[in-house]
Formats: sequence, structure tokens, C-alpha cells
Amino acid sequence: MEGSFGGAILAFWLGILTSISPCPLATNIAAMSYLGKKVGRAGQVLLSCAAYTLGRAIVYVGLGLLIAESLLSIPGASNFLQKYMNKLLGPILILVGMFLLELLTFDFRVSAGSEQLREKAAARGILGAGLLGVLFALAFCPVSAALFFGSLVPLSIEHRSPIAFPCLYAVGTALPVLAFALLLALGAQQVGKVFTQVSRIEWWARRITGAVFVVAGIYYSLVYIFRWI
Amino acid sequence: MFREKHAGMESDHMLKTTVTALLLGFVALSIARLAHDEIFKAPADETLAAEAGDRAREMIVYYFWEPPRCDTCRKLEAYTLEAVRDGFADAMKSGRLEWRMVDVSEPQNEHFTKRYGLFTKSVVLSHVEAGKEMRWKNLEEIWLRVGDKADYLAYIRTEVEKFLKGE
Repeated sequence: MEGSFGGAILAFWLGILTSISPCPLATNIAAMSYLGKKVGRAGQVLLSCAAYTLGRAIVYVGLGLLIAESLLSIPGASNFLQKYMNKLLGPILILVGMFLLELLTFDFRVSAGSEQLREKAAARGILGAGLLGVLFALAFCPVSAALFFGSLVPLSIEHRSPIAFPCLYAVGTALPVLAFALLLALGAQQVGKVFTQVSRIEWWARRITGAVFVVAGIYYSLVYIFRWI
Repeated sequence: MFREKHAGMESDHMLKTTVTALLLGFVALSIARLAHDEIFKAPADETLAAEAGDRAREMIVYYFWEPPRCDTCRKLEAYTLEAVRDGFADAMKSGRLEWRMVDVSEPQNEHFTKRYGLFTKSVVLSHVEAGKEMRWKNLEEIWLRVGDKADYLAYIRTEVEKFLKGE
């Protein structure tokens, strides 16, 4: 087995430290709200959470491997991602928020029946969660860059664990977000059941998520592009 | 009744169109600003760099930063300054030890990133003699210790002390 137990715990703990630090707060809130929006469907929330974690893991494993194989330098990768991903994140979040709010729409012409249509929509939601994981993992802030590039990558190389440790780190970074997303979804579901309004709550959850994305996007643009805050 | 409902739908549509236009305008402005900053980036000029050299022998505590300054980054900056200022007041007064904050996003300071292999906000100790850097050390544990102020201050003081002794 690669790595060591102590190293594995540390990798996981570094992930938790990353996710509870204040700088990824805006993306964490956006992720929580996105993952928790399928109020009436606990199974789909769980699958979305898994996809989100997998998306993050792919990024961390990929970066770790590229650095371990000397195809990327730590300062080069870290500075590039911190500089450009956070800048791009603002406009991307606003556009995604606008789709969630249905201010912008894609014309998906599907001739399938309603059951297949629902399945396709669910699959799209899970794929979206995975892509969100990739996007948010790439948007390194100073704390996540320091912990990932400064601690996790050297730890993985030292313990010769280029896959397991970055995966544990990914789980650590996603765990608090997932816990809150599940609580949010289950809490809203209970409220919906009490008032027999689950579908109505889901409708609101989608709009709130859209608004959260737009606000987070404006915040990212103001901070990283316009440097106003 | 129908007319009222129709008027309500029209005002909803107008609000939606206005919000959409405003948000798309903001996105376009953000992308334009991003492109402008990249295209008209000032070229690096290392001669303007805030480097040592005006004194015969000097120890420098660098804090390298760049915008935006996150909450944790502000703590790093404040705690490091506190540790150095309170722990080495005499050395600072005599000019043996100097505190410098360097914004590495400024083109003239970009070379520090390469020289010290910086990948995030960092504290680096540098020993300079006759304008030449003899040795340096990146205090890599700052991010792991910033959560505990007392531990952080002790870490900085110990490292600076060792560095001043040449260890």
C-alpha cells in the first residue's frame, strides 16, 4: 500500500484545513448551495456530492502527478492558477448563475419521453457538480495554494503516494461542504414535507443557488479583476 | 383582470431583460478589464527592485504578498511584523535587521518569485553583504502555524534568531 497511515491522516487534515479557511468561503457557499438544491432527492444530492469530490480529486491528483514528474514547477503552477483561475471564476460564476436563474437558456431539443428527460436532467446535474469540483479546485487562493503546493505535494512525493494522498486531500476539502449541503437538502426536504411543498422549495432552492452564484461571481470579479475589495 | 395580469407579466419580462443586460454588461466589462491588464502589463524592470545593498551587512525579513489580501494573509503580515518588531527592536534600530514588504505583483518585483521559488504569500529571511545575497531561508511553516498566534510568533522569533546567529 502506498503512503503511511500518519501521512494519510495528515493529507486528509490538510484538506479540512483548506476548506475551513476563510479564503475559499465564497466558492464553498456556492458549492453548498448547488449540491443541496435537489431538495426532494437525497440520492441525487449524494451522487452530486460524490461527483463534486471526484472533480476535486481529479485536479489534485493531476497536478500532483505533473509536479512529481517534473512536468510542472510548483511556483509556476501555483502562481498561474492563483492569478488566472480566480480572475476567470468571476465571469464564469455569473454566467452559471444566470443559467440557474433562467436569465439565459440553452435550447436542449430532446425528443425523449418525460422519464428519459428527467434522467438526462439528473445526469446533467451530476456532471455539473463534477465540473464545479474541477473549477473550484483549480481556483487556488493563498491558503489552499500554501497547503496544497507547500505541504500536500511534498508529502505525497515523500511518501510516494501520488494518488491516495491527493484523493484524501480532496475528500478533506469537500467534506465540510458536503456535510452542509446534505444538511441543507435534508432540512429543506423536512420543511417541504411538513408544508407539502417539496417541489416549491426545490424551485426556490434553484433560484437561491443562482443568486448565490451571481453574487459570488460579482465578488470574485471585484476582488480579483477590479481589485476593489 | 386580464389586463392587470398582462401588465404584471410585461413588467416581469422587462425586469428580467434589464437584470440580464446588466449582468452580461458586467461580465463583458470584467473580461475587457482582464484583457486590458494582460495586454498593457508593464514590463519587468529589475533595476527598480527593492533590494538591499546600501549597507555593508544586513539581515532582511521579507514579507512577499500580492493583492488580494485575504484575512489569513493579513494575519501573516501583522504577526510577522509584531514578532520582528517586538523581538528584535535593537537590531532593527541599529539597522542590522530590516523589515520589508514586497508586492510581487509589481513588475519590478517579479524576479523575487523566481529567485525564492515563491508560490504564495511568504516570509523569507535574507542575509546580504556588500550588496550580495549570501543566504536566504523561506519560512515555510507559516501557513501551518498562523492559526495559533503564540506559536506563530515563537516560530518567527526562533527562526530569525537562528538566522542572525548564522545557523
